[in-house]
Amino acid sequence: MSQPSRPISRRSLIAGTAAAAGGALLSKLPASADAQQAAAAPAAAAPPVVGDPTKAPGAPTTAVGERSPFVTPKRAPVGEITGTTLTPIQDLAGTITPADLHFARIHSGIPTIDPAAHTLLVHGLVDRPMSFGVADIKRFPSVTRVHFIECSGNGRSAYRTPKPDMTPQQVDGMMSNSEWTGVPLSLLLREAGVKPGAKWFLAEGGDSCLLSRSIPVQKANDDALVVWAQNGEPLRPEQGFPIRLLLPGFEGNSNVKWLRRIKLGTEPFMTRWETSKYTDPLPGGKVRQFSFEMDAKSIITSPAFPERLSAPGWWAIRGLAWSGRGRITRVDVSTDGGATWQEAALRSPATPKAQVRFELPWRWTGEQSFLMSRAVDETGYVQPTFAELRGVRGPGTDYHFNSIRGWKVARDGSVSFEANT
Amino acid sequence: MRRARVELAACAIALVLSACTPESRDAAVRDKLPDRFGIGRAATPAELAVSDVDVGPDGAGLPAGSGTPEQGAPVFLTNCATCHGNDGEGKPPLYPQIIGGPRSRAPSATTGRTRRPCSITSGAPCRSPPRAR
Repeated sequence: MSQPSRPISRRSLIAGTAAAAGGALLSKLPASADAQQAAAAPAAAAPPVVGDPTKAPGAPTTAVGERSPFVTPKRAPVGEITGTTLTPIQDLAGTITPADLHFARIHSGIPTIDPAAHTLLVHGLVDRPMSFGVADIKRFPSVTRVHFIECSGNGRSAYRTPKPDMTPQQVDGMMSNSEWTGVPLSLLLREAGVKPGAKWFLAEGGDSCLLSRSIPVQKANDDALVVWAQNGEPLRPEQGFPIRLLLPGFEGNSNVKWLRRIKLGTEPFMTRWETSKYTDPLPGGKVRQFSFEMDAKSIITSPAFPERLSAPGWWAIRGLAWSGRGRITRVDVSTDGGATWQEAALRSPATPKAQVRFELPWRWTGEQSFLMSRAVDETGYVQPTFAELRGVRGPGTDYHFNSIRGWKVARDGSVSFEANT
Repeated sequence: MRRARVELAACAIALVLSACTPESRDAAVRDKLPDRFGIGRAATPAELAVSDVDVGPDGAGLPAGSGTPEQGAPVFLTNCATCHGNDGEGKPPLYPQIIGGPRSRAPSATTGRTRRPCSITSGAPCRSPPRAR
């Protein structure tokens, strides 16, 4: 004992005893600030060493739950005011994206909005220009539905600058799937009385760039919602708190967050977000505009980079599939680069404009393999190969990258991304 | 029940005529509800004046003012030309051509050169480019 001796306090004795029994670093004992500090410090690095959890009491209850220290999914990149943070789709199971991992595309930061002061104006070609508070909107009949939101730029880097060491998150992390609760937009429009000549409406957000898009009134009569809740709780700020527009199946940008204004008109408003952005250049100088619907798409999330298959044998090929036009009816999987295809099982209910989990049990022989998935939706649309998509859209197209994604499995079990399908 | 059958039949007819989008999805919700709930209040002219700031493709909504290309040229040269060139020709790939291309800010449809967010989009507010004040 070279350390200077000091009295052993009751606290350190308890902490020491608990540490010896295991689990003390995890348990946030309310009486012990030392224990909290100790718990906070190693949580950032490697998970703490755990002893036998059957030999000492575990941690007390907390007001808000946390993930296990062994589970650390993260969005990335982060820190931009004008940028995107992507969902770690390779870390998720089932189909619902945890709200705190839902991707976010922001154009001018995430505003802090007081719901008591926020209103939604409905005006333009209406009989009665209306102002709805958030509490007003919650008094209307509500519906709860599961839908994906996908940024129309999802997959851009995989299309333009593919690399073998791209993760599913980096390939297609600009999409997420949630249960949303809100009022059908048509009920709000009926309250204001849409005039016969109104064919389009402007939806404007309350962030500092007033992001706005023109949407056909038909979509409001179809299935558009003004939502205030996601996965059982109020919207997260980066998802549009207190209210956002939800246009099932339409490109993410049109699902205007922090919704503050809807203006009815006879024609599109031609905002920045539907002219210089969110339009798709094509070979020959033409440009697609108002390409709202997200085409059917799928991606294998496992096996995928940076996974490594430890040994030949049975492995589950798992992934997600979705379509902005309706239900996914089939997902095919190839393990030989598209020479042959097998129908995968759909492991979750296939509902319209929502993600479905597919799976194919696969016996890996240890040989080089080339995994692909191909989604088909209820309209008969078949997810195209990279060559097919590029042939139609050209190398410089800017949105809607839904070509078949590939993963190559090497003999050593390592997995790498392959865009060229 | 009868209504559901009628809707199904209408949907089937529409399916034959064209693509049957689920346009009746929320109609089923709406049909059982009153036309109006009387929730919310009339928007006031004052709050509309504050928020109704969009400018239509025909120029409707522009603030009062006037100008000529001759008056605008020095404004462009001061605020825009450094990146986009004196004639809007751009400096690809960082600063896109803003006149004459298939789409302003578009990457080349033939070369596929990646467009980069340039300085005018890298900070708040995103309603850039910088405007004359």
